Amino acid sequence: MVELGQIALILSFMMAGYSTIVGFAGGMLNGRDLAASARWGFYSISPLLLLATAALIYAFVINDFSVKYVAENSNIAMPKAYAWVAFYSGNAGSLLYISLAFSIMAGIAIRIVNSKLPYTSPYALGVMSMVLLFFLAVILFLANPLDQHQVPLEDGQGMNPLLIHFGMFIHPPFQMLGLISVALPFSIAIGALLAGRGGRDEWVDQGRLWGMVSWLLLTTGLLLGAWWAYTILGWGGYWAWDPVENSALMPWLAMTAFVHSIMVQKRRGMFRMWNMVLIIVSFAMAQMGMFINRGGPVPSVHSFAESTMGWVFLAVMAATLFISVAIFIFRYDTLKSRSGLDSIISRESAFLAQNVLFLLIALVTLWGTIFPIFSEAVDDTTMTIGQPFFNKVNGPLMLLLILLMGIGPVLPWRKAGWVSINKMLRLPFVVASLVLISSLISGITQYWVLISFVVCSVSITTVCQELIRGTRSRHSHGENWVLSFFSLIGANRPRYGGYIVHLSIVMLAIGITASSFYDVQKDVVMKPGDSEVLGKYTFKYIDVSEKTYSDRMEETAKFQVWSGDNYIGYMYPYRAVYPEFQIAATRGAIHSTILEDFYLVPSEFQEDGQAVFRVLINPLVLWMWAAGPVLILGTLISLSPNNRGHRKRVSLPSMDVDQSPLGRAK
Amino acid sequence: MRLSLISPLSLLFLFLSTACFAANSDFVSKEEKKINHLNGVLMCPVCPGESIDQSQNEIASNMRMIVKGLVEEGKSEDEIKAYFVGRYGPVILLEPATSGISLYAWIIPPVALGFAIIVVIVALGVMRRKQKSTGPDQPYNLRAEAISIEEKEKYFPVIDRISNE
Repeated sequence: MVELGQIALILSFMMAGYSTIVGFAGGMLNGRDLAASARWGFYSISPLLLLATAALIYAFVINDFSVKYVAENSNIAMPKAYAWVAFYSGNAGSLLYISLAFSIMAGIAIRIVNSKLPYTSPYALGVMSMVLLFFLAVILFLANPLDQHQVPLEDGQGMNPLLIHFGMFIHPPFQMLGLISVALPFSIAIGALLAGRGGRDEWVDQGRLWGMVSWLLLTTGLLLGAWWAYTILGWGGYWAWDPVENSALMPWLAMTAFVHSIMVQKRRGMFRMWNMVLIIVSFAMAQMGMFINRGGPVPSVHSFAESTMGWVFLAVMAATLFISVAIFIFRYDTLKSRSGLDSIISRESAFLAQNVLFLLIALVTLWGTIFPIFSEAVDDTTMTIGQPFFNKVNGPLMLLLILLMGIGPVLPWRKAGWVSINKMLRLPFVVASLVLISSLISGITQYWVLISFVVCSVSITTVCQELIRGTRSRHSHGENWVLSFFSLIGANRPRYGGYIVHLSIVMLAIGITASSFYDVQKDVVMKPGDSEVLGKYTFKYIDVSEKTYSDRMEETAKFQVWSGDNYIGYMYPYRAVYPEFQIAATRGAIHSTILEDFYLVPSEFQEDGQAVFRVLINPLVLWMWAAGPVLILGTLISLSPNNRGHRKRVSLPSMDVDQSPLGRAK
Repeated sequence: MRLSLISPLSLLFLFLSTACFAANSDFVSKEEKKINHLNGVLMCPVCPGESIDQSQNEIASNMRMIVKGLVEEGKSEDEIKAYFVGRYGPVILLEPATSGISLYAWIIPPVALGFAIIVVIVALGVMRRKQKSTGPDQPYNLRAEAISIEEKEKYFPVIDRISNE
């Protein structure tokens, strides 16, 4: 089975090479048969990689410790369901996972792209195949998960116990998928440039579609990671500005700029060069993320241990950047904007400001992440840049973005008259003032919190105002309220889906603001029978029970908790010690309400029966997690094809499909 | 419509802000706040990137005890930081100092913001001038106020599409 997997890997590597060469050849020679052959070659890769993956997972299931990767990442004691997690929990396996996932996604993407953009498609396929070729080359030559020992081992070393958790099933797959999927819109954009069609706006719909798919995956990965850290890692926080977190955030920021700015090209034929720049930067940042993740120079909790292949990723990133910029310059003259700017005060300008701000945050984050390397090289000063720095520097920039998020959508395209702006911003201004007053009255004195609540209220109000205005105008045509609300959203899904995403971002911002500035944390030493009080919560430490498993020893504390006079119930925070790994993992117990979380986590259990607990009250955290589903819903609405709009425009000649013989090639 | 919007939104925020207020009242002493703050800015030396507040490592928990002890002795924040820098070097601080080469870490972001603002203004100016010099390139360049925003939103994309051909 392992040998079969190896053969499949080698074959898929060859097929990726074939699709790369033939794809580009098909594009340049304008050969429809070549392009089709490259495409079918590419489709054959995912079944092959699926076979290799099956071989690896099978090796995990039957405990085949002759496979090095299996021996390093599992042992006999590991529950079998974790074979899937073990598959991508190490360096080599995660590369295989990325290749497999990318080959499937790119296959779907290229099938759709081919029917919409026949000229661009062979080049786009060539770029995608090249990306895949690189990963497969790294697997085959540097980190093959199917490599075998001469003599099989008795038992494996086991998986890092921190990874044996349900969260491992969802966060890493999404995050890795998100990072690699940036390659899809990148390939489409570069493909359009190479085909000399970057200046036509035909690639925009596909670029936007795959850009948003990638954005959604990245966002989901980040939110799941934050949620996992909060519920499991047991320190009461959810984001630590760790280098690898930063390197996942940077492409997200650049992609957020891209999915907005692409709308300007779609609507107005402007920002053609800018969109190319954004997608190139996004992909470079995604590669940067993989570089830092795979043994880059910055220490991080997320890194794959002892891997020097980061430098290979860095070199490839540099090469990609260099070649993309060269192509961009070479095709520069095809990218002139259709029109200039009608007015400085317009939605176009707001989009530009938003884009630059997103990029700025990404660059500042990059700066903070790599500054320690810089300072060590220049001045021989070793230092650390962590959470406090990023909070201080990025926090204000993000608040500026939220303000822009409130103002931007009410500015009309082209040109805004002062009268209409005045009319649209009056209500947000009133609500913001009321919020400011009510916050002051309720005793909020931290000015960052006041600013945050004010800008959030502006954003919320403009979105609600837009939704209500549209619903009302439909209602006045005789539809009932509910129907008019849904038909409003259905009529312009990209726009109203976007507004729903904006709402979720405000929810996130409120949650982050409240929980960063008004969290309460206390370490208490208790012995069984003791009661303590924090705020309105009373908690009684009943006892601790020990349980020994094959790989760990668990100490679970039992608490009775009251909120005011209301009895909440028992809470069971626990701490597990893994002697083989010398690692302790704690899991907090959380009582969540819509206003605040009461969070209990054991720090240590002492010999004399005393135990140290960390107790936290984190306000409004639930709003952050609730923002996730809202965000996904909004993105899906905005991605769903706008059938209604198409039917209306059915008499107009379509500009999305270029009519060519190649275009019909299947 | 006005009132129907203002009241629920303000109520919502009132509700949210009282939540913060509730937590804001002094549940923890000044000293505990200081300890928590210091735990957040000191790095755990064996678990890179993690603060001692965050880390489950034994060294981190020992360091937390030291911080607690020093705060109870009445040492100031700077003294405590200096104590740890003396033992582990400046690496131990998660926040760079505001002197020497570290100053650049702090200066560059605001400078970059200023630069970004200039870039946006210049870019907008260039695009605007281009439009002025070539004149209204579209036959349907209606005066801004001539039709309502709703109508514009409705018709312009359609016209855009046709004129694109």
